[in-house]
Amino acid sequence: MRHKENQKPYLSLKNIDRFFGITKALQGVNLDIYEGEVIGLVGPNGAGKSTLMKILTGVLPMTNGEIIYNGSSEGNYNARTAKQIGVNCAYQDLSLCTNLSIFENFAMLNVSHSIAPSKNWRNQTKAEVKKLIETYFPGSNIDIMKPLETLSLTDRQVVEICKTLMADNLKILILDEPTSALSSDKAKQLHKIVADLSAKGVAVIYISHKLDEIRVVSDRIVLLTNGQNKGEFYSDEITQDELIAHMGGASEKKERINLDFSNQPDMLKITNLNARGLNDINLYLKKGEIIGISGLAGSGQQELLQQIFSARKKNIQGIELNGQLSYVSGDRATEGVFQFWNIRNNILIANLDRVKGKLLIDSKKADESAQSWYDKLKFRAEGIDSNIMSLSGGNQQKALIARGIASEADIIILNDPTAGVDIGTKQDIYKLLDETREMGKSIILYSTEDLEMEICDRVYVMRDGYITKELKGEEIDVPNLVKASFIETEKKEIVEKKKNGFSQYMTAPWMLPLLTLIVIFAANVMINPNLMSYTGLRMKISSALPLIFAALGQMFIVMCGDVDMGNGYSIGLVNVIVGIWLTGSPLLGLLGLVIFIGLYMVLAALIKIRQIPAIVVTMGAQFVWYGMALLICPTPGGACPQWLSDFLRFKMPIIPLPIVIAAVTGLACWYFLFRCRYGIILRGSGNNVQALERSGWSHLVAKIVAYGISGFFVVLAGMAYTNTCNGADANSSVNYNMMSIATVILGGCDMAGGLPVPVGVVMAAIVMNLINSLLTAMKMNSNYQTAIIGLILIGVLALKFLIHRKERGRCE
Amino acid sequence: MNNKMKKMLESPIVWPVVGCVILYALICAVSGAVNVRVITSGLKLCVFAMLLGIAQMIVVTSGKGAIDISQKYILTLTAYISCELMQYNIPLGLGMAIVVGMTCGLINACINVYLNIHAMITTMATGYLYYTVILLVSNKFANSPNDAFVKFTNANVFGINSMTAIAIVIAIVLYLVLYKSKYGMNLHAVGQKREAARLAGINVNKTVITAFVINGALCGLAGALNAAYCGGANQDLGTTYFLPSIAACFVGGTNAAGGKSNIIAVCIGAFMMTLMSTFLNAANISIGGQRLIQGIFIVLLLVAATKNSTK
Amino acid sequence: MKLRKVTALAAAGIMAVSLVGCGGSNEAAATTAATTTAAAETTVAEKTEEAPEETTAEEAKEDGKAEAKGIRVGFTNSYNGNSYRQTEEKQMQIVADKLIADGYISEYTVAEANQDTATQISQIEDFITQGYDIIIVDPASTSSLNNAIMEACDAGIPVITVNDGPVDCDHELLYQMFFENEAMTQALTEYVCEQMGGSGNLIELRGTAGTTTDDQFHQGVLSALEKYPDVKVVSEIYTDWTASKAQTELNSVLPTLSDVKGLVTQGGDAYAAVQAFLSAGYSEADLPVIAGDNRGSFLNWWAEEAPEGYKTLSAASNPWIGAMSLYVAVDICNGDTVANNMSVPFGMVDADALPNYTGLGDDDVAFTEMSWDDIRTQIEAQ
Repeated sequence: MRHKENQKPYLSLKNIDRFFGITKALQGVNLDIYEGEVIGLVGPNGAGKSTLMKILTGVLPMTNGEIIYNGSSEGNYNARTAKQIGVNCAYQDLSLCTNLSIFENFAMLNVSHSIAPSKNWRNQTKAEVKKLIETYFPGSNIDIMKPLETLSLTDRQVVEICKTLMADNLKILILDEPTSALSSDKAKQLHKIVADLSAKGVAVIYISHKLDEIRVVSDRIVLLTNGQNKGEFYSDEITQDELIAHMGGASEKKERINLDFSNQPDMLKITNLNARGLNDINLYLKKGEIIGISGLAGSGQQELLQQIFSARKKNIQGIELNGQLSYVSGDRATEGVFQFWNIRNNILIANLDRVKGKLLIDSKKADESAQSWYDKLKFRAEGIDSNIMSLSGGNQQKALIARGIASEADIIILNDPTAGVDIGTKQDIYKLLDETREMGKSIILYSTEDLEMEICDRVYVMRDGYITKELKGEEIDVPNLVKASFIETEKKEIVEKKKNGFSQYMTAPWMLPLLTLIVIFAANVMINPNLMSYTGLRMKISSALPLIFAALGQMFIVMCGDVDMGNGYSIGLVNVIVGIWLTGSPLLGLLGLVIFIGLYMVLAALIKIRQIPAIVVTMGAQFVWYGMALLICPTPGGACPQWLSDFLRFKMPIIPLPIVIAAVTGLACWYFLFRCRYGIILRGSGNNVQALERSGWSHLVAKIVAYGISGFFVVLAGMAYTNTCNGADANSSVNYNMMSIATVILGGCDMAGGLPVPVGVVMAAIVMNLINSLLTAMKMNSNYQTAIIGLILIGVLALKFLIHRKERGRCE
Repeated sequence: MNNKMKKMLESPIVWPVVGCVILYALICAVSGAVNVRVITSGLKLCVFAMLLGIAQMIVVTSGKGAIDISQKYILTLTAYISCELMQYNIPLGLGMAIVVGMTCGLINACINVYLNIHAMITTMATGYLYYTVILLVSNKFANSPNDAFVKFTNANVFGINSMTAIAIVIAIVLYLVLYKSKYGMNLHAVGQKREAARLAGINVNKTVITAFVINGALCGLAGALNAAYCGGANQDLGTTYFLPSIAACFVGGTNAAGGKSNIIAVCIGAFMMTLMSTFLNAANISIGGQRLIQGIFIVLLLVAATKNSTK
Repeated sequence: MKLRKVTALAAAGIMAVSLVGCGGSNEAAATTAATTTAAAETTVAEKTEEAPEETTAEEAKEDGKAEAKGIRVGFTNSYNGNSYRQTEEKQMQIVADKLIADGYISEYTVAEANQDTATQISQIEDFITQGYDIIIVDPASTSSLNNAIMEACDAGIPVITVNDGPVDCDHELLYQMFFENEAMTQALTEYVCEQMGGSGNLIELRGTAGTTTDDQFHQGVLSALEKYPDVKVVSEIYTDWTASKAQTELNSVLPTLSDVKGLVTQGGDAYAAVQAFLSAGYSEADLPVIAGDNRGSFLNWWAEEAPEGYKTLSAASNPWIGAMSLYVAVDICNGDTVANNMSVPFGMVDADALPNYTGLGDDDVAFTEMSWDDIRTQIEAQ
């Protein structure tokens, strides 16, 4: 509801400046936030809305200005202060772990980081989350137990919003484009939530490009353009057209030379293109033209550019490309800059043919070429040999543009090239584009900054995947652009794609090892019925126990996204400690085992703190394990401690003890990882470290714990192995390394991390053991056993890849 | 001058050189005399670690955490092939060894690129397959090297052993390829950022595949030479060089995530690993102690060198 | 004899009972297993009638066994990747084929474990569950197979260890055929030290660190060295008994050593040692005394290329031990008295015997066969 006349604002931003170098993202912006009032924050591209919100949430410091809370100025305003004041933002980039289910994500966020949460925490959290979602989005039927990555985009957005609403101290809620993925009925539910919150006294800042929605939801509309306040209106006192007019501002007519390109050949012609979120695109580009793509961000511009770029190599229906194409990206960090290189190489990489002799690159020519670009673009650096990361964002962008032009392509696509670039550099770039056009090149320019479009000859404005308007020549000015970008299209109702239940069941990660186990076991029994006996089973599973434990240990490390290349020799070390020390002097043996687990944890710390790749460190570590093992046991000998072999050989009735042990261990791991709270943290750490740390958990601790557990399983493996062998031998367990990795993969775990499948791994370990028997029984040359393992690895992963590709294809 | 000094000290060449110096001092201390022959024989010995280390470096440079652990199997397999075929014709044997190596590299690359399976798992699986071929072949193929070829590998060219000379020539050629040719620049671009390389017009798949094939070719050559050097092929031929090649590659400053390489540092790293082997043999430490020292030395050097290479 | 039979039958009985305990559906399997074991006992006895000469005919009558049918033999080899093991397997196949043709053996299966203990354990277990009559093992480890071997023996299946044994466990049904490794290296080392004139630098090539075989060979060297205090071992190198490793390691260490006068090896790398010295620059006159390993490569070099007056001695284990064990296996299953610990003579080639061994392939290992009678009198009767 509207704030009252004399009401004091809950929080006030006064005269906020934010400069990035020479760029003035915000200039003297004021924003008063009142309890219970809904502010609609609007503005065209590049107005500064996101920057302002970043300052409000304390993530970005302001250059000048003050934030006044409770009458006094907040000195050191940071993220913590913002949280204390009660500022919460529903992000667009979803800070959740995709491998965890919704309720697990929420559980992770729970502030209490105690080791032992309350007894009934699972059911409690489940109930809370269910209630939360039902309250806010009744009837949405979201399954809170399914992993996040299986949810549709809509559901994910709902979850993100609910997560924000769950915050303890919610005084100011920021919603940034919250309904972009929501269907209309869900959007209506959201509006109701906003209204309820407002009634309860929570201030809401609602950012959206949907002006009709803004007028419905907000009490007061705040307008920002070009980093400055442009006006404030009460939503019931202004019409949509008036809003647009205010945003556009007065048109500053500039001198414009209108060029006629009708006699020029078509460099690019798109006819009725329908693909990937694009609808009925019709577009052409003449030689020497500069055309612009404009419109509100997220209207399909990126997809259009990607389609055009793909047309270089692929034949895309509807796209006719007549010339070479080069691409300049504005997303320097992920798509543009080669971070190890200097300016020279960054520019020349797209144009090496020009500067090379018959075989090698002519460094003189290369330097000359780079230098000429350097001078032309007026870089602010120490020379073409400066490392590119030492340059400002603007200068980096210059290098990328130089790369695009130097490539001698006929058509140059520029994807938001001046994002984060200062005015002076921008002018340089515009001049450069004009010169490029004079060289006979054609340019497609996409920019989120409307002012920039004025250098174009024609502009296509997009909305919701359609081209809504084509502006020519004189028509191109900011007011027209802004007006055109708000043109409504026939809104396609967002249809949620539900996942096929059966296919989900079939792609469960433990399905493959289960099927393989059944098949191999059946094959074995057919050839050798004795296997089905108590003794036969006992023997087989008992000798599989070391692999089961070794694979589980490997699984914990793979879950972190790493690989243990040393666990063959580490098992040998444990074998030796158990066989020689533990048997002789139990105390020494116990100490040795404890220190061993400690060493595994040290390894984890080394990997995390020094950022060394795990594979290389564990490979080096294997020599450490081997050396220690040889020192303790230079020649094979020793024996299994009596208590251990008595225990493992205990003849249980009906079901052999090894089977019980295997089942219990697998289930225990499953229980820990999927039912205990810290298990959730561990799984999350393999998927999204950022989400983990945002919730206050330490990644270092998680890694150390995971490695410690792995070390514990290595100890179990070594013990089981000592029992199987009844002796100690430093050399004899080397193969467990490769076998454990193969077992982990066959068991269905994801090598990238975050997806452990304990039960699958146990089954896969038994499969590995049975394959061996099968080969012996079939009298197959045992040389083939290794080949079969290799084929299994490739086969399983290829299968996963194909299934994954099919799934992705369906989702789009 | 200060800036230049600083830059030199930050170069990845520093650590392998330091390692070499320390180890050489240790060798002299243990054997009681300053020994030049250690260096000359070390140069001959380090050829294999060098070839494999450079090959590994090229694969790792292609980015996305790529690494090839099937190298030792490729080396062993091509050793057998060269022994068998050199009975008929020396160039044929050598040529086929390299061709088979390249084929193995091609297989590795295709599985990695087209099935999107991480290179480490791919090469682990294909390593198993190559090992099976080795097992099947080792009974049937000759495993003694051709005498004339052996004489060639023992001969000296301009005072340097012929194998070392070949290795040096290859290193120079690859230096030019990696740092002064279009392919080399493409490779480093692909290793730094695949997406940016794609957008810059580089054929990413082709670049990665070529890297693996070069790797295979080098392994093939190493296999042929190794068979001659060791008096014949046997099933475990390549195992000796597994650790030295990986150590040489990473101690030589190769960035594990790709995009950054220094071939000179890797060559020196290979030499360093040879010196380490010499030291351990000369020092008469118990075998357990030897392995322990090797492991700790490698881990420490990695900790130090990784810091340097990710700059 | 009787005790063994009783134990075997009792074991079979226990197995049958435990199988029955698993449930009705396994009845068929249980009875099959029991019958097989019993049948084996009876069929083996029958064979004694066909066996020539020194058959223990009285014993056969004593136990009243029926007509022989041929035993099922399972052989698990820890490794077959070098010429020694390949010779072992090849000779075993030749003898097995002969014994199958003569009806003594009905089935002979070879499994190879690629140096992996767990695989070998698995293979032994498979032989047990598949009801083989006797298992021959060339063990990957002298201590890690104890359990599996005990399981087999407890199930009534005799186990013979060959070559890389003996394993350190005991059972009535466990038969160990081994070489006197210590004696062999002792003899070689003493010879080399004598040739060195009782003093000088010696290099010792060893095998794989941490294995019993390597340890035994080493003990032999140490015993010999006690008699020659002026001989100094300047380097011990582990070569895993492979030529390539030997050559690599020797090449790396030779430049740091001066004036090596002798070298002893455990086998598989003697010729590589020769090459290493030559390429390190030792002239033919200075070539140290290198003890040979009965490989064709070394013997041929010794016979044809060694410098005039070069004196040395060659010895190695006899790869025919595997084939020998097949004969012993038949005899064991026959019910013959066979010693539990059998020492098999190693092969020694001195300068006089050398001409008998020319023409061997480079990778072949000189071996000597024995007749079945000699096996019985010299080996089994120990």
